[in-house]
Amino acid sequence: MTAIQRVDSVRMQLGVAVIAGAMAWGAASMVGVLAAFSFAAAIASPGNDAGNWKLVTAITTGALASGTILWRARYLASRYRVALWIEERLPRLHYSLITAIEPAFAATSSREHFSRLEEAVAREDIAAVTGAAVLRTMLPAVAAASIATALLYASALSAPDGQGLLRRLSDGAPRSTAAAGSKLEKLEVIVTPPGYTGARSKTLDNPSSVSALTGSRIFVKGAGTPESLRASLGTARLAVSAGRESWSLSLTMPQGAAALALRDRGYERLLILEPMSDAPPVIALLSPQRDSTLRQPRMVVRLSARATDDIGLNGAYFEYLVTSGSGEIFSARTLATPVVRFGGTKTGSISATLDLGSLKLGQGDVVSMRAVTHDRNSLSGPGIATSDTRTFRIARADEYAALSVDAAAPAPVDSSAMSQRMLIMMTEELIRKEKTLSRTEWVKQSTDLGDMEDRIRKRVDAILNASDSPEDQSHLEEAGHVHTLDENAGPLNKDLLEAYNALWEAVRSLQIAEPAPALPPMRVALKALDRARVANRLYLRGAPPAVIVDLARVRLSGKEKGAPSIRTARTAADTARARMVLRFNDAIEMLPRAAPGALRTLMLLRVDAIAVAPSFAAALGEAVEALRSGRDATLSLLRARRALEGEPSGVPGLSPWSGSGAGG
Amino acid sequence: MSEFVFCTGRYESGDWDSAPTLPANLIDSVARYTGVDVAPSGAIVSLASERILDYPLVYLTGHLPFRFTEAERRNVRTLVNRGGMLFIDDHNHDIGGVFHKTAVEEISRTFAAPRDLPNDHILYNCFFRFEDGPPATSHELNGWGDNLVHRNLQAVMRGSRIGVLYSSKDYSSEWNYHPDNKRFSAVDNTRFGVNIIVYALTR
Repeated sequence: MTAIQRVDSVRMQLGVAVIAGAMAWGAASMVGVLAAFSFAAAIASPGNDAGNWKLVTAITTGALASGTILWRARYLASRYRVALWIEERLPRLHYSLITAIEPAFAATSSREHFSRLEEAVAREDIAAVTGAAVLRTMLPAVAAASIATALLYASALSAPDGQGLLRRLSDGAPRSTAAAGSKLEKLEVIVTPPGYTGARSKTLDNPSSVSALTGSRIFVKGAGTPESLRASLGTARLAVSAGRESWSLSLTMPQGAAALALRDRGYERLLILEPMSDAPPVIALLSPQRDSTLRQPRMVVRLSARATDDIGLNGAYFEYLVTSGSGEIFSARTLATPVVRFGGTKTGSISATLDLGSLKLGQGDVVSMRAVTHDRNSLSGPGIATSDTRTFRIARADEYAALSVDAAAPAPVDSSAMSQRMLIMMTEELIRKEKTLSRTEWVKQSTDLGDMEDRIRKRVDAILNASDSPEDQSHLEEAGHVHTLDENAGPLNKDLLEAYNALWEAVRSLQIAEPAPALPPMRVALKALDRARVANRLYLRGAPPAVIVDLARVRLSGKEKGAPSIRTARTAADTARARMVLRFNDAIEMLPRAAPGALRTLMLLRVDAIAVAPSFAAALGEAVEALRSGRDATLSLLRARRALEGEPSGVPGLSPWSGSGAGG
Repeated sequence: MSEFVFCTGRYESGDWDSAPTLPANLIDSVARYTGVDVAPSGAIVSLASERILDYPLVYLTGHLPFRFTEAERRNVRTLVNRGGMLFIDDHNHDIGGVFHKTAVEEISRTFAAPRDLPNDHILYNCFFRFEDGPPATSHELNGWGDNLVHRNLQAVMRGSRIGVLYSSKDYSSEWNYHPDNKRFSAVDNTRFGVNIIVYALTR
């Protein structure tokens, strides 16, 4: 190896050492600054850090440290400076190394002289000197980086929420509610519904909340040993069991929403327990539809009912209550049909027949009937539901004369009531369709219209005569009878009378299948009826109250000075929802600065909201899930706010008014 | 100068006195907000009487069909031609109601067909300022009557002056309460009534 090659080798070794040392010092500086910030944050304001500027500061410090080291090692760029560095540490070279690498010397000196110089250089142990220098450069840098890393790790452990500064520096939103390194990072939850549901267990992978039927068994499992693990549900501590390289705990889904708090050293994780209750079943009696009164206890009643349940029905039956007696002496007996089993289906129907004759009913007896069902809830139930009750009463003989026996239900809408305007439109339509209809159909439709028109005529006649009885009308129906003013003793409404006569004319034309001639009198009748509708009113004038305005008092020019009492504004009502709004606002405000704390607040808020504001709790659950998985939670949070505070509303362009007068 | 007397017109058809406390309420507002020399109680004058010509503003309202007798028609026409103003308000707040239909017919027969009054008319700025035209009533906002918020009042003009002001907004209901109850309102809803009176007295 020539002298030049030796110098270049030393340059290479020193260069690598300097670069590695610079990187190590830079890393040490950066990590050291982060550790200092982390300790300071833990002491000053735990869980209240904003990390970006600290990260920038640390990186800048590291870059400055690395740059300083590299700047100080700039002599490595020059071969002569490196040779001088070696000569300084090996004085016995007597500048033979400098001389040997001098190009002018190599060109002018003899070969023998050059060989002696090379031998002198070769005798010295340059590698030992270089190795020592490399060690002196590297060791302090590596030691500093190690110490700084240890400090940063210690600061992470000392953080109260177990997150440490590194975690917060990494991003604004956590990827998980548990920091890396904790035993709570990865959870597996197995939910086993109550046995009566017949549903299978389900496994949830790393959930933030668990929604299950009340009474379900919940098995939570995580990696690691159970030492240092603590679990609590409200104020109750839960036992944590050890498994094979895992820990687990088991609990029953409570009746109200709760947060299962899991703690591992400085780490914490919340698991929201969202219970669902088994709703009671519902049963509707489809038949009979209405109560009734019978003259004789001879009837076979057909009963049918339909039941539904959210989990599963057990069975259903009909129940009869027979009440007999009068005055103050009554007796009752209850009968029931055999239970029809549904075997856990969600819907079911039952039917039965009841022969009232078999009940040996007497006058005045009442039979009440209803359907009963129950679900399969063996844990907190069974849930029982009953239908509406229908009653069948047997009439007494002495009430027969005044009894209105109405077994059939009235039609829900009286479609026979037609307006005069509608009849005119139907008649016009019939005339338009004349060519498309057969003679038989034409006559039938015209006659039908005539019948409907005749009903209106009879109504008008009833008003004119103040009587609805058909007997009273019979005298008018003889051969197209027409009212005249002279025939009635009482005061007649002229408009109604005109309408009545026009209606008669229209009815006659329609009933002989001549709708076209019927239209003019129909229109006359309509106008007359309209006139009668607005004209036939009585209005009794009364004396309006005399309100005299005290002008002096209104203009504040009277004697009375007035001494108003001190008025203090009332504080706003502090409702549960208002308190939730405040907590929600606080959490949202905290979110950019301290995401883990904000997330914890939102999860606890959700526990409280599940019972009182379910829609808000549902939206909040989506937001929590989005925050946990690092997704954008803006829309979910907006939905949560809408659910909590309601939609914003405004009425643009309207003047503000208040107060109101009497209705007009 | 004599004091202003609020006049309620009495007509033969219908219920002319269906808003009995409205006059006192408007008198209270005029006294409260303006320096107009106003009488402490209103007057009720038959439209068939020539005494109606003594009043610069005549207020008419009602729910029922509205018809002038010949004498009434002659007097109100004279009143308007002499510079007076009729303020007719539909107490039904319903453009399909009988008062609206018959009143519009009667106004058209007696004067001319009423037309929409622009919402930037001086009526809306002559005392209080109503940027959006006639203020909506609580009956309109509650969806009663015809379920409409009527954007304009109608008027029959005499030159540049309003001769007949017609409202289907039911101010008769809105303002028909004892003036002592104003203290329960955050905003006095009779302020537009002051504008009508000030307009009638100054134009």
